[in-house]
Amino acid sequence: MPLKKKPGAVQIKGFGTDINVILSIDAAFPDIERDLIRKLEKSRHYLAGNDIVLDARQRNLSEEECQKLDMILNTVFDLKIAYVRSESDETNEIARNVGWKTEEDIQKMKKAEEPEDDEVEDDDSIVEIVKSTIRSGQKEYYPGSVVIIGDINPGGEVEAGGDIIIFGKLRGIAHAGINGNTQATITAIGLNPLQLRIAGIIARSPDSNLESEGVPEVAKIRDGAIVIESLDKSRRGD
Amino acid sequence: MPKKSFVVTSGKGGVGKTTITSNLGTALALLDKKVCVVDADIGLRNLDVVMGLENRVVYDLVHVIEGECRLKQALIKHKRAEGLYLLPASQTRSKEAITPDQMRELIVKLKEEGQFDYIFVDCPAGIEHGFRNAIAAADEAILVTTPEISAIRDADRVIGLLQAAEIYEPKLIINRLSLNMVKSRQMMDKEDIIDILAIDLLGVIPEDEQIIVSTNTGDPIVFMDDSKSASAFKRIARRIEGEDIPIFGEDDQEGIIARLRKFFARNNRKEPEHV
Repeated sequence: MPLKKKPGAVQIKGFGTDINVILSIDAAFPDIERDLIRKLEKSRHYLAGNDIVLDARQRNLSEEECQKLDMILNTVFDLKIAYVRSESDETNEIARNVGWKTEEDIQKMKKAEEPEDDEVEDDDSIVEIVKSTIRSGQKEYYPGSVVIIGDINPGGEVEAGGDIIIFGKLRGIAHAGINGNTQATITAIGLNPLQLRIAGIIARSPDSNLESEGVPEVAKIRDGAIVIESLDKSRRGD
Repeated sequence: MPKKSFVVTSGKGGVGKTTITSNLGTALALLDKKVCVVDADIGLRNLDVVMGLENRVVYDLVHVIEGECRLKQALIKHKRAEGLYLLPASQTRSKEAITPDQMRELIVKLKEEGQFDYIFVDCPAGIEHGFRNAIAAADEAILVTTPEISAIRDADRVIGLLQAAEIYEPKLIINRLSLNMVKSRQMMDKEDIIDILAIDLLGVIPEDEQIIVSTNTGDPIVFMDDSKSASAFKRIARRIEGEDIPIFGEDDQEGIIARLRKFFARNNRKEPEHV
């Protein structure tokens, strides 16, 4: 059959940091062996020391075939097999017997490590302090909460995953809790925004010119709407 | 009546493109037309501010073009004029964010999907990428100039560029004409300007301090009945609609006052000669 004589019984491709060895679905195994050796020989100098992902796709591999591949890759060419990717359960089972890891195993391992990562990457807990005025046309994004020492002018926009606190006047747009945190708040010494956005809710300024009294105010979500309250306790009456 | 798109352009900045766009749009909406004004000045948007709609901007023209929102979501309905809509520009992006082809698609969408009778595109100053975006989809051009030699020079250049883009016969609006200064020969008259530019005059808008109040409060001046410029804008709107009405400063009312003034001025001037 002409297919067997095709040189593409094995493909070697780099994806990110992985080097994938992809096996043809319908080539005969001897062809795969031959092609693999030929290609590894060719690219020996840059493959050396790298981990290999063996991609068998829908191809079923017998235990004998697995051992042969292991010989070629591991013993002859000194390449470590990171894991095997296969759509066949049988092959995955055989691969484990040979001592290889399957893609499923790797994913399980990654999952087990994740909770630790979460604590480190909890963006909401990061607070950045920015000493600058955000002017028209500037749009700044902060993954956590942000304290801005300066004003946000009309046409300027600040987005944050957490709270936004402005030691100055908010005359532009502030979007707190941009990833959906409805507990986020926007606080400013002069709260005269064009728009306030918290999570998915938008409030716009009234059309009449209502200037804030110059007392610190805080905007938050209450009953599904954005409300503004004075930060001054005596004015709040509690 | 076929749907028409206009680009309001000038070359020089600060001659009143944005003011004219917002007021002509409003005046035509008051004539029961469905009008969309489009701000093509990406990065330096103003049309939303002078129309008092700045606080309603959520999505803009770039969002529509990039498919981040539907056209309807970005269109802002005017708070007072029925049938008037604004498509704002993005403030955070640059003119290079869109191409003339994308602008063309957008205007077609406005005509078909939006069913607008008139579309006015407020062109940025200059003759670079932003200008080419703004004129890309225009059926006709409205050229704005003031009676100043620098503005006229730029307007002349723009006429040439418009012709190169196959937009022929732009219509001229002369903005900020002071009849008193024209009469005392301190300012070029409309005939002088037309003589240089050699295009049809669509209208003349007199110098009006009230414009500053109107742009600052965000209420188009055509809502103010006692304003000089408001009636000029309404005339231009009716002229766009195909009515044949005189240009501002050419009708009789103005003529009588002007004639009286001229009479007194002549008498005053003559006196010193006899002394």
